[in-house]
Amino acid sequence: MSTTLTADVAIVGAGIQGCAAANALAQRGVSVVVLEREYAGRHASGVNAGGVRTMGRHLLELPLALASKKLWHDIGTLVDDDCGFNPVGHLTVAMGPENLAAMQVRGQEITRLGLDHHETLLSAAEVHAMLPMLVGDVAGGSIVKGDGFAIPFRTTQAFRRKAQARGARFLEGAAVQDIRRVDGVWRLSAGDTQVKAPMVINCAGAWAAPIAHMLGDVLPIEAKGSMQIVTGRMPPYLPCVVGLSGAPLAMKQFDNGTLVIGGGQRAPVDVTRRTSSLVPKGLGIAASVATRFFPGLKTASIVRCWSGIEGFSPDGLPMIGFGRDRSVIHAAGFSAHGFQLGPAVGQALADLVVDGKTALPIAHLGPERFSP
Amino acid sequence: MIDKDVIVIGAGPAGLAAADALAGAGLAVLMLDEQAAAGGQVYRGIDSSRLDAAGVLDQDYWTGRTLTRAPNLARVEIAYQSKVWHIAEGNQVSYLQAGRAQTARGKFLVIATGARERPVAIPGWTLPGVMTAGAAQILLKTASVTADDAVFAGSGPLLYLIAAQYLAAGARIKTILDTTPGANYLRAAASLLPCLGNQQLYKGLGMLARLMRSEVPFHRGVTGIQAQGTSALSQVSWTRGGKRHTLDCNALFLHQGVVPNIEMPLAAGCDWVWSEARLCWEIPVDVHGASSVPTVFVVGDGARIIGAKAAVLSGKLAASRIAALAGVGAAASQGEAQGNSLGNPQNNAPQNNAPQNKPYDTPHDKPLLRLRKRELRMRQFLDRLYRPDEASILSADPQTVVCRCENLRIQDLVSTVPDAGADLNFVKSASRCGMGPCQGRQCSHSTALLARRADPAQHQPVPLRPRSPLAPLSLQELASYKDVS
Repeated sequence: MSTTLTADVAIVGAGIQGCAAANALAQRGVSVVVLEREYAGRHASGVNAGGVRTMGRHLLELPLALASKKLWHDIGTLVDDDCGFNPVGHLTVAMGPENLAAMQVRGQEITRLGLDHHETLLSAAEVHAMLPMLVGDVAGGSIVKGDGFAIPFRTTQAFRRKAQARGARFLEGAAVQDIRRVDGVWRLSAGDTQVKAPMVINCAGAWAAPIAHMLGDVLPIEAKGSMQIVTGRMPPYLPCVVGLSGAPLAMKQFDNGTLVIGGGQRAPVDVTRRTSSLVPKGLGIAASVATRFFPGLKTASIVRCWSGIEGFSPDGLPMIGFGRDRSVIHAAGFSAHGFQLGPAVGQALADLVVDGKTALPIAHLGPERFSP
Repeated sequence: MIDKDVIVIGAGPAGLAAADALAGAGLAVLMLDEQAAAGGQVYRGIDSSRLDAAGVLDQDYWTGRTLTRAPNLARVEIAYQSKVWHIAEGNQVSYLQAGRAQTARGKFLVIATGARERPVAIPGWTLPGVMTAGAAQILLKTASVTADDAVFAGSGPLLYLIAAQYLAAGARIKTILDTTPGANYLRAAASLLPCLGNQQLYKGLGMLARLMRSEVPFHRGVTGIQAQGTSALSQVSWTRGGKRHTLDCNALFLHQGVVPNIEMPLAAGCDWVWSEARLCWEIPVDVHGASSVPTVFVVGDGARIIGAKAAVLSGKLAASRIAALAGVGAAASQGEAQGNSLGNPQNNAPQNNAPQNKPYDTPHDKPLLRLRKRELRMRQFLDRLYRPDEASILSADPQTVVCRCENLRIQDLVSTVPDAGADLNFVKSASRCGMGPCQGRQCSHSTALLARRADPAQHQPVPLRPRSPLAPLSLQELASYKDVS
């Protein structure tokens, strides 16, 4: 038996971007249907490392991250759930003098741009004082207060629930198989269900390219995986989120004591089967960097390793904005750093739908930069 | 990277039989086991046990020595204290051998990782003093240690066997509580006839009779077992004959059968199926143990609970098929062998598109297949007789702990389960159930029952996707892989 739904906006993908957009649109009285192949937060949005940071972002993305940071600090009011957000701070250790010099230059750039953002420089002594368990020579570091971590699956589901409470409809287990435009209205088919809407937002993550293709656009997105390692519960060890500049390592300890170790070691992914696999050698590299600088972690028990499936863009920056036709909006290619941006992206997408423009700083991130 | 014709994971009866036969056929075999010696669970400690002269463990146990001392094992490279933590495509196995990083690749993989005891989620099951009967048996087999005045509770042949072993070792048993539902006796009666020629039936009946004739109180038709105590177990209570009974005790051994360890087969890409008859997940395999992945064989209890005798047969049958596929051994002269498997389409595992060929059996296989059929007839009788009473493996009490690692009770999970569509991966993401160190081994069957209880239309609860490491590693041990290719 077939069903037809109509809405003002159809959103493809219930990751953080899609759920945040649905929430922001529903809040403004726009009728929304979200089509999700599996369930909200099933992929990258639900399995990333949970980093909520503005530290180290590309300067074209930083203003958007700063806008999102404000929303994160009020996340409980936004979605009726604290999402496990803990602003413990983010410290990047400069392994060598060239890394520290780069931090200094960046600091000057941020000041020059007039951004309300501080990556406070630290001396080597200050870094060791903050991280007494860190072993080895370092040149210094920088720290951002108010950055931290949250729980990805919980956050995505919180946005989904709030959106639903506001009237957004979620179709899960609904894989979009076909999209076509008939008389100025988009028709999306998922099995026996058809959704009709004048506007479509493409938030399909690692699958945004095929969805874009159905909408008449070309998005140069490559699906890749990034491996994570999580320990069992440990006594308090890390006082803040730690990254190493000059070595592939990012670590954070969640409130339940488990420690997540990332660092971007690549893993092969299969977008058709929607699976990822692990590379023991890459896990070994991440683990060896962690134990080299944090020998106290040598005996930490590893409970689980995994990789998500994420959409990467050629310049490492997301594509957010209208497609060739203004009935289509894309928000994809977040390249493993989209989670923190989600709240602000949701609002920007709602602005684009309702007002045709947004005051949020996405001007340099439009997908048209890849058009020939 | 160690390259072999066959990697056998697990040196229990199925793995030993397979490895011996494969080596006998001239194949290069690597066998891995996490224990310090062969034997698996059923023959645990068999080569080092001090219970020899005591007559505590019966003859069935000691026949395990014919397996651990099989003639061709000398040609098998056996790596003990080897923890397999990752299986990659192409049958690449990463394992730690006494803490050292190793990787091996086999043209074929034989997964013989057996079974574990079914979790028994009754109120108070996590109290100190409550153990599984199997754990009690391991202590007996390896350390000759018993606890006196314990209560044995549950259902299934292993429960009675372990109780009998305890009595033979001179331990006192306070009470045996049998939860086998009365209705099972009638249901099983239909499968009894084909078993009348099977010695195991009479051994089992004899053992049960001895237990009932002993001084140990033996109560049947028991329901509603609860373990009570503040910081440790001090009392057990139960319902029988419409009345509630209570008994003081400090040791409670629970047992409700065993379930296949499906984690490694799933990690190797095999399809799975939920069995309503046996209330557990199984790996569909053909008579030779071939799974939905052409080069991966799953033998012994690891595919479906079949018992030690049938496990040995399954190991031999897998070896026979693998030898034929590899073009060696008895089947080599019979020409090209074609094998296939029972792929199961109704799950979210990768689809197997292999054509449905008829299995090729050598004449050598015929007696094995006959014996296997006999064992399966016995197994069907036991499966029907000892199908657990669902309330005895998952209580209705919302305070009952389901996920021990994350301390989640039934009431903590009821809000998640309805949205899950019986996909345990959703329940895990939403509640952390199964995210702890045991990675679902102590909770996933309970969670599956919870999902079925919430929505009886869900016939195929989806098991947790296996995540490496398949056994815990330290960060330092993982670090040692940075140089391994």
